[in-house]
Amino acid sequence: MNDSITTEIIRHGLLASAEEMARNLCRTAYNTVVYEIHDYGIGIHDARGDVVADAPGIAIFTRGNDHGIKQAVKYLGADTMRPGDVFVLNYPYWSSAHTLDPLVFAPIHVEGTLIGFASCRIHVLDLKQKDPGYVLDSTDMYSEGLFFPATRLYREGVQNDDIFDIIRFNSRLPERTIGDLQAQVSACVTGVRRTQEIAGKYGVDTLVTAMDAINDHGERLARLALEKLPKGTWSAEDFVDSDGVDLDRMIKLRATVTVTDEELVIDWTGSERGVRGPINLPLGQTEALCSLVFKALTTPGTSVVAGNFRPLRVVTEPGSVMHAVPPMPTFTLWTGLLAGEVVLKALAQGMPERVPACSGGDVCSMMGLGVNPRTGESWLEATNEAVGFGGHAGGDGADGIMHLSEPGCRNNPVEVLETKSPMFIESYGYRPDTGGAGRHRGGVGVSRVYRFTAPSTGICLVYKTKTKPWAIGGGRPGEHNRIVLNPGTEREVVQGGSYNRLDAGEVLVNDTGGGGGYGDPFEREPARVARDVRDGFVSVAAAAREYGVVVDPVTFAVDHEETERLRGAA
Amino acid sequence: MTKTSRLAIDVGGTFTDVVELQPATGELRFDKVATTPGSPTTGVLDAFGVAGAEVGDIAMFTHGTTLGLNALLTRTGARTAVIGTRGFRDVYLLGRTDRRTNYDITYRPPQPLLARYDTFEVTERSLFDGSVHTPLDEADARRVAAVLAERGYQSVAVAFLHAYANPAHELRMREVLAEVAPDVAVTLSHELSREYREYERTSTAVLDAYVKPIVRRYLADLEGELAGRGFGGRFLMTRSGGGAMTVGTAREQPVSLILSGPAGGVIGAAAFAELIGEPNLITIDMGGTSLDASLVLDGEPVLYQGAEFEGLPINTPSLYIHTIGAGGGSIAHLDEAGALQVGPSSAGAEPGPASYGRGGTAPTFTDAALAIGYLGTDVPLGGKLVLDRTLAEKALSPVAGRLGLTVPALARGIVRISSTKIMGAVRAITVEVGRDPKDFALLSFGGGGGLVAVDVAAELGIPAVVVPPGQGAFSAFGMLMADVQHDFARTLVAPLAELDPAEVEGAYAAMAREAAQTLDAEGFAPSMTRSLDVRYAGQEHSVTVPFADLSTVEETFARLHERQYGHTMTDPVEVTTLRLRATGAVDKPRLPLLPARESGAPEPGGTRPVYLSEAEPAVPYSLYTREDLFAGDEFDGPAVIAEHTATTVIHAGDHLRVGPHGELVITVGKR
Repeated sequence: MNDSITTEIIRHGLLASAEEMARNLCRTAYNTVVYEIHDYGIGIHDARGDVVADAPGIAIFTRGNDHGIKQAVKYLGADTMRPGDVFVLNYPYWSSAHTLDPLVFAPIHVEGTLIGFASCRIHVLDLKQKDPGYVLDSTDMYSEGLFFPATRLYREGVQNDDIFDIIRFNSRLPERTIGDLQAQVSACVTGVRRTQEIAGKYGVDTLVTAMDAINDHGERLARLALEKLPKGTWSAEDFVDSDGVDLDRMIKLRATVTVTDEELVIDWTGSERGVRGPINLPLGQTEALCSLVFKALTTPGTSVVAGNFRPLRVVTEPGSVMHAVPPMPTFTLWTGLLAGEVVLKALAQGMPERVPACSGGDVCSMMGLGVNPRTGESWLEATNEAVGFGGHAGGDGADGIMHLSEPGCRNNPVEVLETKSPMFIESYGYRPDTGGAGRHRGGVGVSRVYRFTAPSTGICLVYKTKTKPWAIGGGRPGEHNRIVLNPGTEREVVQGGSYNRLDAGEVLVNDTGGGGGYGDPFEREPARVARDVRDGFVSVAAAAREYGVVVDPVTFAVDHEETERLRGAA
Repeated sequence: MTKTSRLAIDVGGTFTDVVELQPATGELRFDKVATTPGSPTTGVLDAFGVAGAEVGDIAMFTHGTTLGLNALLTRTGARTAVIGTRGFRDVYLLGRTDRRTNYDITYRPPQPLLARYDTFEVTERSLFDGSVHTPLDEADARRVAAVLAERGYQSVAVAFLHAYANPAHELRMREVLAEVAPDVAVTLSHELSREYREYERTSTAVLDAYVKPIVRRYLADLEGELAGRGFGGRFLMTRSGGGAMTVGTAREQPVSLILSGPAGGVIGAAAFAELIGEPNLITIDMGGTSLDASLVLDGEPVLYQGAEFEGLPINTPSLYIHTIGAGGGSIAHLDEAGALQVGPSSAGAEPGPASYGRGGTAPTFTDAALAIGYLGTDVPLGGKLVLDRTLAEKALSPVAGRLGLTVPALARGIVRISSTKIMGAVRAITVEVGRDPKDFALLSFGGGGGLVAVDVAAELGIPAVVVPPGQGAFSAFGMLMADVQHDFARTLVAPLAELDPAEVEGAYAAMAREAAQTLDAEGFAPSMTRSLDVRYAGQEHSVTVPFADLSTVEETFARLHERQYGHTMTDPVEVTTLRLRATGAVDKPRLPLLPARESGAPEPGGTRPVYLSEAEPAVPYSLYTREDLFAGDEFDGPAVIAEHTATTVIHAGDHLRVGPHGELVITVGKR
């Protein structure tokens, strides 16, 4: 049989195996964020650790598992890995994520030879990090939880009870944390078994050859797309609100992107150094976010394989916020969510027709926890919140969609949150007038208002509240994200990312940002502005002020004469 | 004279299938008429016209229609509004705020069914435990109803927060609407779904409201026409949750029609499972553009809660059907970097595969099957269409040239890639229910399934493949087997250990009363089955456990959890939902028996040379005509069995036996 056909058959087999791993995981995991918001990264890798098949999960984990497996192999040596071993790795500088995103992986052996790995990363709930839920203000790695530097959860198929006991006696939520780790193990074991079956059917050599061919093909696809991109070098900056420790100092992210015929280089030189708080990124995470952007630019329609990223080169300065070295704190990770759009901001200068204006720019996560007076038990519920997308050459930005770093995420339903926690949601909906005006409008953000009915902690993870989402080509910026405590009272506070201890009756508002606009808003067809007014996305006042369109507040008809006058005066 | 005839009419995209059964003789008749999308009742009445029986003699008419689905696909449903709780008008449009494409930085969601202008809110609020936080503001409710009437909406979905726990406000809202906006059709979310998750429930209600006026008009027209022709039998519709419903239920809950298209085949499969003594079946139904895979487990179709239309959730129990883009018309092509891909794009019915000679030039799965000899030019498809091998080879040769392959080698690759994709789909649905494909037989129907069914089975270790008689119209046949069903559910989240048996019994009894009333009004004696959803505390996904009494729930749950997930836990167990299914049994037709051969053995009418590899380019496969086979006939592969609308292929080592009803039972040999 011709190699290209065999490769395609094996590729489908590996993809089906990865999908089976994901189904297995989603149905066994304990943790809401795994099954409700698909917060996982799953892959089948070749013997080098390069991914050959993945199950679409959270985009910001793209290829992060490759980095972790490679570091583990470097540390332990491939020859120490035995059939039936399953490892956990959460040492951030190796695993490419923080301590609560442990990478579980298992070597795949056939006839005694290591031919690849199966991997599964999810967010687990507690590994003795300094604060319950999340850590926003650590100043070194030692307060960020237990580290597993590629540690055997299973040794040759036998559970390593010592490790599970250590977790059981250290975690604040031992059952759910161990249950989730076991779900990861079960997913990996499935991946190993299915890959071995494929090897059994087609032969080890054919499988290994096919894995190479899959990555070579992925590389060709990426290079063909790279050829079509404009060539040049562009730089851009944006800022993270703070490092979580020194709250008044904004942290600079600087990306310089160079596109040549051979490669796309993302160089983070010039980004902040010596950041004290936990927003530093492990190198693997920086590579992952660059991979996400590169994939979106080149091969968005095909599944992820490591070969896609051969034309991508990432440059970092060790010790900078984009490349943490021990013992720099790394827990918050949010820099990674913001940084991808800085790359797009640089590209917008050279290829404005290919990239959108900035979205709301953040994942806007709210995590509540405490003791539920109805049950007497501790509770923890989290939800990410949608933002407006940026306008682009092809049209308006979408209203209220999960940030591009976490597309598979879903919001947590009001009815679920209220059933499981002492939170009462007062309202949840779009935030009108937050989308940046433009010929193509930025999407609007959303607002969710929580009233706590028992003393609770409300952890807000949002780090882009001080800068507005940028526009392209004469559009206007979108409205920025914000957290408001007790609005309309004497205790009102407007802030960003924060760890809030709240009494019963206190209110927390998570307002998310709108996307930036694309093109001159005065060029937008008045009928489309009127429709936005009718639908309540744009107010009558903003229609006149931003778009120069006068809309009747009752009939939503355009006053063309007044509109021409306003637009003519500009 | 007594009415005895039974008729099933299954309206598809291009053709409408008719199956008629005369219980007196056991005779089954299959026929086809053209579907008439512009005037849907015309095609159905035409179908009545080709039936042997007079309309007045028909005792039972079972009907499947894609009317609701088409209204959605073309966005031509009713002008629909949605009313939510004050502060939550955007629940519907926001949805779960996800997108299914991971790397699309300029993503736009599919065109919504309504605009934000069409979303309303009313002051009211219930809580998760059913208590009322804010009473329904009657004046506000009337104000909104008046706006609806004034703007001329045809339909409205009412979906208040926690209405699954306390429906009082939705019920009151309906009264207000009836008074103030009597021309607007109303759907209440809790009447379709009694489970938490506001978006999923709201979406279900909006889909229902969106198709309701169209469905009602169609059913009224059809009933009127049939009454005028003297129809006095029972009129049933197939439903997406399996089984059938009365026309009255279809009018009230047309959402159950939307995904009912493939339902007939699965219901037929369940009936067939009993007939052939194979309680566990995987079904594959391969059509022109896609393949539907589904399961029958212990003689029952498998249901799930996760059905969707274009990403819009339908939160009622639906048959578990996994659809992939692998059909007879799936196009083979090379991607930019030169790798061979099959599907998901399809040549469809028009122009269809190149070998149909209707102007198609893209190489398809069907062309590949012809090029390797699975299909022939000697037997016309559907009695009419003769395939053209030259056109197939002409379409395949440019791709073959670019890959440096012979045409048959490429064609063989296309068939194998398709089989691999089908295998993935079959594996996925069995994994989802924690089963191994080896424990099933594979039931293949539809046009192309028989070409690859044996390969798929062999790969997955499935020991037997069954091809039913009349496989082209199997879905319509299945409709004749459909019992009337109603599903009820109540969210009840509580630790199993703390459940009050009296409360549980009370909840079941209330559902049973409602079910009995409904079925009684429809003229059926009900039979009820109780089940409940159980999970480990803290876990989200639950396992549906048959319910006898509370004492055995934990043990049964542990057994099912072990089977589905491979482990059990020591955590406390909690119940989330009580379910009750009420069934009104219809008399099942008896499938006629195929006569046995009086003497001799089946003789092949010739051979087809089949390409297996460059080393075996023309292996002779015995060619049988299915219509010439008798019950009890047996032969070994390799063989091709051609019939009126489909073809089945078996290989060396496989063994075929014709069952008593004419079904082909293939024992899959070791490869």
